This record gives sequence, structure tokens and C-alpha cells, in this order.
Amino acid sequence: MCGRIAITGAGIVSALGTGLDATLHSLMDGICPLSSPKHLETIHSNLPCGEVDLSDVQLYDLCHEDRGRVLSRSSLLGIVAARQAQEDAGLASADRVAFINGTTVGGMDITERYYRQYFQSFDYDSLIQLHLDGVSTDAIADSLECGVVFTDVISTACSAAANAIAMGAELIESGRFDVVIAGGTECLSKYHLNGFNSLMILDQEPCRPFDANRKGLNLGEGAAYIVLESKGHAQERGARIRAYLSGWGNTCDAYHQTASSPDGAGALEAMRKALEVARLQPSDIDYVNAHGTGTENNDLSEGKALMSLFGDRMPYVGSTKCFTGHATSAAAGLEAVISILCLEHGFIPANLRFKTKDPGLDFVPVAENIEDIKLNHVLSNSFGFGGNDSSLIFSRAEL
Amino acid sequence: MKRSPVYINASSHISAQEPFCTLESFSPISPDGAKVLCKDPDFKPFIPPMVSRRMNSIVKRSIAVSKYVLDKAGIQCPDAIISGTGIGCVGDTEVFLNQMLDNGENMLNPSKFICSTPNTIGSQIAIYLGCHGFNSTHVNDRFAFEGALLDGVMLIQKGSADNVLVCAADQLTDSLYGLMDREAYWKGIPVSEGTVGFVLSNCPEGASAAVEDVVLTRSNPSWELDRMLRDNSLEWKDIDAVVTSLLPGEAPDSFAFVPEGVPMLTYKQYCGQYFTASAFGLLYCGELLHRGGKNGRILLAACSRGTYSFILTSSLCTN
Repeated sequence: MCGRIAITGAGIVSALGTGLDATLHSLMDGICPLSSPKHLETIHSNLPCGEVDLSDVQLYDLCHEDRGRVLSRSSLLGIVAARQAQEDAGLASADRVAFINGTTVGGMDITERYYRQYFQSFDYDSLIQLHLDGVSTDAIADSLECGVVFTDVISTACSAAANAIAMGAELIESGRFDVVIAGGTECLSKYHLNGFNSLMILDQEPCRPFDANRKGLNLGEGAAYIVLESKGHAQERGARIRAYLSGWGNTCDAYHQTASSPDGAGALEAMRKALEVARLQPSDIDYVNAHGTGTENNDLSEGKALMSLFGDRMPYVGSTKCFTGHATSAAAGLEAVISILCLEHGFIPANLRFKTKDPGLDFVPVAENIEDIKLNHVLSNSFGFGGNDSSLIFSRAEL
Repeated sequence: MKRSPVYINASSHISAQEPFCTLESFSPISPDGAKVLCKDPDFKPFIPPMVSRRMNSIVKRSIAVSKYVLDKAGIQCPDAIISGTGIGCVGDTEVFLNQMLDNGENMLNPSKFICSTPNTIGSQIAIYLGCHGFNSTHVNDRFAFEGALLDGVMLIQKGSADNVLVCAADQLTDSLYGLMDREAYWKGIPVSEGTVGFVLSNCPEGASAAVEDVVLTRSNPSWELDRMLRDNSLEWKDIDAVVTSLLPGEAPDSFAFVPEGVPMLTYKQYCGQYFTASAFGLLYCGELLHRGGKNGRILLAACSRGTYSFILTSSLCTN
């Protein structure tokens, strides 16, 4: 199976910037963009976030969207990233494309702003349906010039974009579509910032994934999509292949609604399944872009799963959420694009702020940037509430 | 391309009809009322009361229906659990949202937030059954069920799963009803809610019907439908009936491509309108086919905001 699903385009917007170049340079520079939320109206100015530093107005302009048309911030971010991916892949209106979006927050930013007004006047009625994840997604699909003939929306909380990408791969493998744009979008909302805050899993400092003294995660936002097609289809139309999606695995930890099992059983099985699909051995993996949220529970559970899978041959491990924050349903999309950039540029970003080894783990993450390294296979993990665990494997285009 | 059929080994529902009842007991729900809520069963045989008390109604119904259909199919733990829901655990979402808007952003209780993500349904089923297999949740508005069904069909056709539990669920709250009604999101006929579960399998033994193809399209429906028939080596004369998402009595303008003479049926007189009502439509097709004898073939068709779904179903003898 390895190498059959080609990745011919990518688009991204996150706290690291807009576009592939800005993202790569921000990662290489190693400057952490996590800071107090500027555009989200919240009292929690003490909580660092990976906010996209563009106001809604700036996003409308960037999308060339009419400011009179109300769109959720998730849609706006999604339009920015999906259009980049479409252009990067050189897709045109004649292409029959499926669009699979991962999102959970959807239009909650609109709902929380106008919810009280909905019950007081009829002036905002047209906004009500923007709450729906499907409506947010259609707004993105409608903005694309390529012919989007199919949309689907997946919401498995923090692994949604990974499952969207896996669904895209299945649609291509089964011969249902030639080209799929898949990934995820999520804006910061007061609703889920407060939800995570009430769970007491947010760090008041920039997060420290895998560090013994980690105190929790920082939320982030963004959108990222990749363009998938069969290798044959990509070659036929002369598309540049950036990388391959060679494996994907989905399992359920089935342990607890918000906590991961102590031994990371679900995570381990998801990684094993992805390797099986890719027909690769653990020793083939050069870098793990970990889920690595920075919570006590996740990093220990994921770390244990990595130890079980890799034993004493641990590949480089790092979390890029120390740059982007945890962009929940978009996270796996951001990390897919980052993984592809790593493969293309022979680069592993630092797991920022790592100082102290966790006594419960027998490995340490990548503390500093590694450049000029040949990477063949990168494994990217994404785990969601409810134990929805997913792993993706990306492989170098030249393989 | 013709693909191998996927069998419906069991299906059932908690809906506006009597819980778990079959076709013979279906009766039209009152057309004058504004909304009709689910008729809930006694949950005790499915979930211990201590556990059930902490669950919201959509999760309770989904676990009960899942247990019911899995028992019917003789399966303890399916290879995959796939949920479809238009708006998920909207009741708990409203509670947490109201807490935040009423009390400001302090001292919030996380219990409702935890259960407010749409994948709570699928993961609570998995936790309850102890299933560690594939688990996903589709939330594409009025096509959330079709996304979940397609996902399950692909897993079985590829051989990644022998059996898949597909659970489609939506819940109606007073606020949701008020808001959606205001926006004329629903028109006519009672707005309702429901949970429908299916056990899909690669094995025809004990099955009631088969799903031959699932197509969802934003493109030209007539073109896509012709292609679907061609892919399955069928012509319109092979289709015994089209079951549509239309309301009873609604003009079939959006299904003008159905040739004259092909009987058109509706199902919403039994389940009302809700996001994943098409799952009830598939259950209805299965019931009709199961009773209709051999060589039956029904097309389930839905339309909303320019998107169409087509689910091709058949009785077992045709395969």
C-alpha cells in the first residue's frame, strides 16, 4: 500500500502564519507565537493561545469575501487554507473533488455572540444555521473553484482532521473519487476555551509537552488541508507529489470520556494499525509528530504507548503544539502539513521549552531543531475526547 | 464500478413510533402538532439506573438502540462503531452555553462541556460495550447519516471490518425547536428526534436487506443517479420504488428525474423531521424489502440545499 496515496497540495493557516513558507520559516526560527488572545473576546487574558493573528475583518479581506455575509471564523480560516491547497495542487473547475472537513467548534463563535439576541428579536435569524458544522463546511466548499461534488464532515473532537484525511484516503482507494481535499478547521471560541479551562487542563504559561513539570495545554486555532489523489492520477495530470500518505489507523481507547488510559492502549493500537496499512516496521519511522498536548495525562499515556511500540529504538519525538497550541479538530491537519514540510525539507522542529525528563518515560523529545536530516517516514498522532485515537504516516515523495 | 453488497443484519429505533417496533406497528404521527418527541423505552434492561442517571437522553437512546440491534445480530462487540448526528449533544451544549452567558466565564462546571461534543455518542457506546475498534462520527448536517453509512460500507467492502454498528441520532430541545422553526429550517409536519441503529455486515445470513450503493452529491443528481444505476448494471425498470425525504403530500419537484410510473413513497409521516431522519428512511426501506419477498429493489433518495443522497437497497434474493 505504501506510496499509493499521493499528496499533491497543502494549505495552512495557524499561529505560525499563513501559507507553507511562513509556517516553515516560523518553525525553523523557533519563535513561539503563543500569547494572550487578542481577537477572541474573553476575560481569560492570562491563558496563552495559539491564535491566528488576523482579525475577522482581515480574514474576510484575505478571502475576498463580502463582509456583509456572515461567516464563522472556522469557515474563514478554512477558506484561506483550502484555497491554498487547491492552488498548490493546481486543481481546476473540471476536477471532481471530494471535500472532507474535520471540525467540532463549527460556528460556535457566531452562536455564542448572538445566542441571546436569537431569543429577543428576529433580526439575526439567518445566522442560526451557521452553528451547524455542515453549514460551516459548505461555506468552504462553495468558495473553491475546483468542482466540489461531495462534502462530508467528521467530528471526533481533537482527532477530527486525521479521520477526515483517512476517510479521504478510503474514498480514493475504493475508486469513488480521484481527488480529495481533506483536513480540518477550528477557530477559538469562548465556549471551548472555557470548557477546557473548567477541566483545569490549560497551562497559564506556554505549554511544555513531555516535560516533567508540564502543567497542561494551550488552545490554538487554524485550518489546514491536504490534497490526496492516487499516484497514477497525480502522474497522469503531471502534478507535483509532495509526499505520500502511506498509513492510517483509527481505534478507540474506550477508557474514559476525557482521559486516556494509563498505558495508552488505544494510541498504541492506532499506531500499529497505521504501520500495518503502510506495510512498515516501527524501525522505519524517523520522526513522531506526537499528539503531545502538554497535559499530565496525555503525554504520559502517549509516551507509554510510544515506548511499547518502539522499545529501545525510539525515533525522534516532538510535539509542535508548543508552537501552534492545540487547534483541536484542526490539529491533525496542521500537523499533517508540518509533517510534510519536515519530509520535504529534512527538518525536525524543536519541542520548545523541554527541560526536565519525565521520570515515567524513558525518552526525551527533540529539544532543539534538527536540520539537514533525511526523513523517510513521519508518524503523526492525534487523540480526541472519548478516546478517538488516530495515527497517520507520511512518507517522502522520492520513496 | 459494481461493488459487493453490504448486508443489514439488524436495525431498530427509538423514535416517535413505539420503541423498537416494526413496520406493522408504524402509524402516522399527528400532522397538526408542532413537534413530537421520542417515545423512550424503559432503559433499565439496557443501562443500570446508576449509570443511566448521569447520561443525557441522546447517549442513553444510542446505547439502548445499539445494544438492541447488536443482540438481534448476535454480536457483542462490533469491529467498528460509526455515528451520524446533525447537531450532536445539543442539550448539554445549551446548558454549558447558558451557564457561560448567564454567569460569565468563571466557576463553570465542566460536566456538561465534557458531554457536548458530537463524538460523545460514539465514544460512550464504545466505552459501554468495551469496543476498541474503529470509531468515528459524521456531522454533515442533514447528510450526517449518509456519511456514517458510507464510511461503514467502505470498511466492510475493503475487508477492514466484518461488521459495523452505525448509529444515527439527533435530539430535539425546546430551544432548538424554537430556533430552527423560526428560521423555517423545517417546514410542515412535526419536527421530531430519533435514534436509529444498524448492524452492517459482510454476511447475508440472517440479514433483512442489502445496501448496494451509497452516493452523495452536490453535482447534477440526474447524472449521478444514471451513473449509479449503470455502475450496478441496473435500469429504472429494476427499481420498484423510490422512498424520498419529501414530506407527505409535498410536490416532488426536487425529484423530477424519477421516471413516471415509478412509485414514490415517503417515510417522514412516521418519524417527523430531524437531521438524521434518512436513517429512519433506510430502516423503512429495509422493512419494506424484508416483507416484499424476493427481487425487491428500493432507492432511498434525499435532497437538501442542493445536495442529494441516493442509497440503493435490495432484498436478499436479488444478490
